[in-house]
Amino acid sequence: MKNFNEIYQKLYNEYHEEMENIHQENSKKLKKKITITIILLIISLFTSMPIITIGLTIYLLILLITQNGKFKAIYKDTIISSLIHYYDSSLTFDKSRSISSIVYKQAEFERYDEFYADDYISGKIDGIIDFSMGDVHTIDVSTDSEGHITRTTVFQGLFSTGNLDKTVNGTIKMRSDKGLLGKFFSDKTKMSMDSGEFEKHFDIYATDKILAMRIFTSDIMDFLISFKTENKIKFELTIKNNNLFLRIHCGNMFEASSVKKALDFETLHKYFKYLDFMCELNKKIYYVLQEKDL
Amino acid sequence: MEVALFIVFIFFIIVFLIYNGLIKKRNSVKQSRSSIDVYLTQRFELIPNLVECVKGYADHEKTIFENITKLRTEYYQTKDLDKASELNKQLNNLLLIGENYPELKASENFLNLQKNLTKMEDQLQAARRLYNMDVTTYNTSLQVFPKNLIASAFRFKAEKLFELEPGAEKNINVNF
Repeated sequence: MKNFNEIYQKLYNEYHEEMENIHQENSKKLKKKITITIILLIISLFTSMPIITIGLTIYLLILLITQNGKFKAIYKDTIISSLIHYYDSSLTFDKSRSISSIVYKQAEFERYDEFYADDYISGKIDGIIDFSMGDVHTIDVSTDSEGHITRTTVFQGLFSTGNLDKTVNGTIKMRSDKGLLGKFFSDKTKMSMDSGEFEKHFDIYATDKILAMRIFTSDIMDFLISFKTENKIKFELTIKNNNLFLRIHCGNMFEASSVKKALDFETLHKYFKYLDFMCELNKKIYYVLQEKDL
Repeated sequence: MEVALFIVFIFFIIVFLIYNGLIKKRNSVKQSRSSIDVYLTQRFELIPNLVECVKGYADHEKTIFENITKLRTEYYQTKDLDKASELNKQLNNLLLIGENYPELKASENFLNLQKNLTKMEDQLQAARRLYNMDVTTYNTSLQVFPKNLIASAFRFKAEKLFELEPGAEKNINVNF
């Protein structure tokens, strides 16, 4: 079953009531705790006990920050896990595992100083393609002359790796179009593609240009353009050895929202779309390579 | 006087940049053309084997054998892309003959040749796309102002696109 509406209906029928109850129960408990803490805080202020006042303020802050912690864990274990399983029963979701930085480094994206990852989806697409994906957050740390440290997010979003079963010589990279800047400062591996629309959105760098041409068929280029124009989101890929690395700049994924409903249609649809895109692209490139005698 | 010298200096800088840009584009065309030549040569080197293989089963298709041999010789002499395109068309026709002769279609030698030709066809089509793109970029540079002035002054010539019919091999089922 791969149609989102069908999957959503199934999730709604199975989990709507349960998740709403958990959500309401959590809210009730939280409200009770906050009310008691505020009353104690007011009393401590009137009785001039600064240590207790500070302690209660910290406790209140922790309560507000971690308000949905339990709910978020249940959300991942039930909703996200089921969404992925209904999309492709061979894929599994594990919130306690994550993508390794060693794998991420192989994709040769930009430099970073800190690497964080959570959530892990793995399995065999179509029962053949070894696939894994997860949330990745990379940060660049810089120190100015006065010693002030600045931490800047380099990438936050989904990252996936798929086994292509065939070893590709060299490296093929698809990056977002850099416009005029890219034209003036491009290296020798940059190549032009025979689709004006594709060229508007992406730059291709390949050590073997003919092989890149063979992989980026008009069907694959159209698929990439269509996802880009429909979602207006940045994504990049690297083909190296026998792997396809793909990443989407979509921010933190598979998290329960504290303001939206547990089964918010738009949120789940977004998760589904990105998962589907990553799996479909892996399939397309895998099957194109299977047809080729490299 | 100084202003005039400055204008002349700027003029030469512009000419220098445009000229170098055109040279780079022409070299890209040459480079992608050489890739095409490599794949065409590899592909056409299989012609004698294919002709021999088909002859064994369809000796009376003499016209096509003679035509293909003549075109191959002409291509090696001239390296002309129009000739290559025509020869490729004839090569595809030769492969299609196999459809009319079940014994030929089933022969191991013919199937091996088909497999090799399919691989080369795919590489050739990719090289052709790359070449045509380089030619289009180069030819456009020769036509737009002010590059057209520099191009005609230094006698840069437009290059021909390479048209190639899709291979017939893909229409034939290859079962091993």
